[in-house]
Amino acid sequence: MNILEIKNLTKTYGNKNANDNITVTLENGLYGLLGPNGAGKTTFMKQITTLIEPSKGEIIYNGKNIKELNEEYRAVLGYLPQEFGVYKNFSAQQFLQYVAALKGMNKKQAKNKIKELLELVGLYEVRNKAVDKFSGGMKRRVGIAQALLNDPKILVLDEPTAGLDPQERARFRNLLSQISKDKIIILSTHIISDIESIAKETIMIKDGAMLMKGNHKEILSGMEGKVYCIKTSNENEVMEIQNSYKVVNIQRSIDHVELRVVSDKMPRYENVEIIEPKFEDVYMFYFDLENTREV
Amino acid sequence: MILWEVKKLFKSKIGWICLGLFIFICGVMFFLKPILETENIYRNEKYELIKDDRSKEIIAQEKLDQKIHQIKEMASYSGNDDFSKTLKTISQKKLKAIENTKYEDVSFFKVLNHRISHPFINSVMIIILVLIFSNIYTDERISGMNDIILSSKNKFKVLYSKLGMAIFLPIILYMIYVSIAFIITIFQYGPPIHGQLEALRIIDFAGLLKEPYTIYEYLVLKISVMMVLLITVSVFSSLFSFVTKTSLAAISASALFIGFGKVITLMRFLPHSFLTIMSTSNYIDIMFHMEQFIGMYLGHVHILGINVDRIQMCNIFLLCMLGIGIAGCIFTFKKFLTK
Ligand SMILES: Nc1ncnc2c1ncn2[C@@H]1O[C@H](COP(=O)(O)OP(=O)(O)OP(=O)(O)O)[C@@H](O)[C@H]1O
Ligand SMILES: [Mg+2]
Repeated sequence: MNILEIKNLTKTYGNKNANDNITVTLENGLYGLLGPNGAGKTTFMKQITTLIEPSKGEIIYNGKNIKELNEEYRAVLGYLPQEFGVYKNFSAQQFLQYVAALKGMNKKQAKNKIKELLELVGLYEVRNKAVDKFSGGMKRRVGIAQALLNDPKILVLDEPTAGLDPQERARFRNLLSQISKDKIIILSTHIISDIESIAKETIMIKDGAMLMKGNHKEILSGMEGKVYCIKTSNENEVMEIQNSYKVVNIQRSIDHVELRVVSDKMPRYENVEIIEPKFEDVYMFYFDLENTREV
Repeated sequence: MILWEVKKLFKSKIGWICLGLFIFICGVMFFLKPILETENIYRNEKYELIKDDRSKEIIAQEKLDQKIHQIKEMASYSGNDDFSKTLKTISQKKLKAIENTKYEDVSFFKVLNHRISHPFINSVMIIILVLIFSNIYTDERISGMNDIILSSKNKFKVLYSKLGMAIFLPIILYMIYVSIAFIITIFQYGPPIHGQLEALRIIDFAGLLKEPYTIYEYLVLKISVMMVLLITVSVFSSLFSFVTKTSLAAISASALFIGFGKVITLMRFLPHSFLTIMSTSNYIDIMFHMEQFIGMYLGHVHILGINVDRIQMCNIFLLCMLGIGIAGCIFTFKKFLTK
């Protein structure tokens, strides 16, 4: 059994709810956590990882409150914080040895696992180099390795792909989809493609509250008939559309411009066509932000 | 986990700076020397240095005779106030305990006593501890490891081993210092002999000594008080490290903590009895005038209708603060860090 029930989770800072009455049940599989900056993703994850206490509500793991489970619960946890840092003057290997000690692993167990993970994240060759001299992406890979050390049942990854190159990101996706069978993985990101293909369900958070939760299909079906393609050759019109609609994408050809637009109502232009929704439209539709389409 | 803490310490700059400071005070100790019982050096009214040229034995015997004479006078004093009466009793007790009034060589212990609680050494020792422990958790925050520690299985083991360090490192550091002092002093002033004799032979305020301590007892008492003092400073520095965000904040808080008691004694408008207590129970005075605290009788204070011995009060204060510091850390681990 591996079930995490989150009930009425609320975290209040001052008079602002960073998390507002979130209720959701998570089972084995990968959950993508989607939301703009300040939506409350990190706050949500920090409560799941026992770093901050909820102001209201509770988190139940396999029928028991995680507060009571205490060490037993932390033992099945793997966590990569958003601001992941490392000690100065520690080599990758030493660093992972330390984290293994934190997780209560014995030396032999740790040694094998560390080797395996270093190979998995492609850092085995540089295992004796100082981690603080690593590039940002390499550090993040160390971060991913440390989160996986204890074979966690609940893996919480706060923007794990920030700073990874496309190749590494793809490798990471494959890795996650491999291990997600017997784990609850919660992954926050701003990058749709990170979770598009591998998430069992996507949870969308806005202003601290859960907007919707569902699998790929369910979410897309809600978008049916709300994505349009507008063709125009008038630059003024392009400006106008950009000002009054949520534009996902603009494609320019020699004699005309194609705009991909999400909207509740059909835009009134000459050359408008309803098109099939894609996952990237969802983010724009609900959150209206620029950086949805980072590769 | 405590081994990892030590490892982390020596992977940081602070660890090496502190090791440097420690070696430095061990070197300085070489040159620290009190005026021995066998010497008589003083400055006259014109501030000229006067050195007594008589033989060592004569000088030492004269000094001892003076001390005993002083105690005898106190023992026969007929004052009627509490202070005089108590002094009279303790002086009689001390006289009874003196078996031999002949001077014996106690140079080793005189010097060792001076070296193990010299104000300069104490200050540097405290600086070392504040530097180490103000960073004990701040470093984790700065390197971004705090969240990983706090979400790990052994979270409390890590936190308690940090607290354990704050308690044991001062003990180890100070014991090493005392051991080095012991060895160096043997080389310079001969073997440790006559430690079973009366402590009044090596201290200057012999008349105020509260019990007829032997030299051994006196030194053990002093080392214990020093340790409590050092541990308390470490524990509070750690506490500040746990509750503040930057090492500067933690270091400032530690400095305030150490100086706070002394500052209070300057606030003349406070009740007299309170000021009297604070004038003994503050870290600055204890640190700089150790001699006046260890095993002394400094009179009583009336407070809340009871009569308490000032030094006793000071000892209670030291232990209470240590208790408060440890309790504060544990509370922080349990409640504050995951607020
Ligand atoms: N310790 C704190 N004190 C006060 N407010 C806080 C604290 N931590 C978070 N907040 C607020 O809670 C809200 C949610 O923050 P959170 O870090 O969870 O957002 P996020 O979704 O992770 O954003 P990002 O994508 O930028 O990482 C923000 O408005 C933030 O300002
Ligand atoms: Mg965040």
